[in-house]
Amino acid sequence: MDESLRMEEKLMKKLKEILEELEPGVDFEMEQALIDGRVLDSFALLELIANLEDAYDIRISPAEVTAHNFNSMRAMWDMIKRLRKEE
Amino acid sequence: MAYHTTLYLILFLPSAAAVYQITARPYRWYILLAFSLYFYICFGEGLLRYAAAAVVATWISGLLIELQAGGKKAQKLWLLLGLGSLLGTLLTLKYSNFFAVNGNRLWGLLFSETPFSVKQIILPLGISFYTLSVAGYLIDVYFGKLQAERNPGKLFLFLTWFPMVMEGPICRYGELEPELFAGKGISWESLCFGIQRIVWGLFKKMVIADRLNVVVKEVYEGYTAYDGAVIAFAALAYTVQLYMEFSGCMDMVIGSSGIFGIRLPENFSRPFFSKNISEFWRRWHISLGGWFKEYVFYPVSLLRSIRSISKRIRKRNKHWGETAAAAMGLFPVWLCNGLWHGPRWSFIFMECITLL
Repeated sequence: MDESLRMEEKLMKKLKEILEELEPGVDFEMEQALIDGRVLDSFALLELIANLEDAYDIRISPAEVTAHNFNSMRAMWDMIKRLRKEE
Repeated sequence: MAYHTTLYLILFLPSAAAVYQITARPYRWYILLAFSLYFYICFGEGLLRYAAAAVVATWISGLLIELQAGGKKAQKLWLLLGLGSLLGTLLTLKYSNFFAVNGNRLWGLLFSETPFSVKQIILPLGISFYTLSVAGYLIDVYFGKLQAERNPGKLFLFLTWFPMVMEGPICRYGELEPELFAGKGISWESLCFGIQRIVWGLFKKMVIADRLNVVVKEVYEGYTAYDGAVIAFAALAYTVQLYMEFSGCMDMVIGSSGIFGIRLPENFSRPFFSKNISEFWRRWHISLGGWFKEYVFYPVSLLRSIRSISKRIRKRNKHWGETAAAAMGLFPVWLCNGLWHGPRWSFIFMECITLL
């Protein structure tokens, strides 16, 4: 149990790193409107998707590209977990 | 019966609002459908059959996509058939003459003949708008974002909802459906909101756009008689006129729908205050840009083939890898955007310049 928690923490930290590299200076733990507030534009979103696919070995389809899935780090993490299970 | 006419503002809209308000809540959307169909028929009885055919194609395709849940290939087949029938009708009616004229030009270079005939075609009211709206509905059903609508009458109202059938905005079924069929009564707030937006739209259209049109028409029709400064002023005036015309119409559209408590999305957000061209296009005709972004840009950019090309480039240069994916996604967006505005090369070139 501890091992899986540690692994989850590590993967979530990775997500934060990816986001901070993409848009430095944004408080990703607090931000809840990354898409609706245009913090991430469509080009940044494409780059983010490519980075997430590489980092987590998942495939993000156009159906997943919604504000609901990308508005916050938590929402992205939930989507990643779900896609990892489906892979 | 345009939105700024007396017939619409004094007779049609108040009648629709009055009948809607006195009808029992569960049946109110039938009233909206009846008035929407009457509004549509006012522009030509025969044209309604195209809208009806689009509804039938959308309804059947949507149900079949949902019935095939689990069978991705069958779902894709029904999606492509549905989209093919909708976009095929639009292409045939709106662009067949464009292809015929250009085909004749090409053919003429080789054989001095013109094999393709150019026909007089009357376009169904709002076909460019409703085709995108219902195509978006089918794609949403395919991706599982929406449940297929069982009642074709509801799709018919979505497609012909009278405030938006002529000029948009291009709406998503999932966003419009809750309010369109809720049958919420007309409140004092919704009435005031609607009337204010309509009056504001009328001001933009009749006081600003129509006055500027006099100047623009005068200069454009006899431009050889004017010097450069006057022509530059007329060009600027034409830009303002276009904006006032279209955004004024949108105010009347949003106001008309707002009276019934049905909020439509905004289509303009002060575009002339944009800092750059890409921001301008995000703030001008927002619903069209949003539609292309969601249903063309992301699906194309995220295609396996494009992702693998972009991945290969990314290995050498991260920035150019993503730029390549975005450019390959943007090209069809601007091409479709140009074609959507009209079957003319000027629109296509204008959009290609914007892409660059």
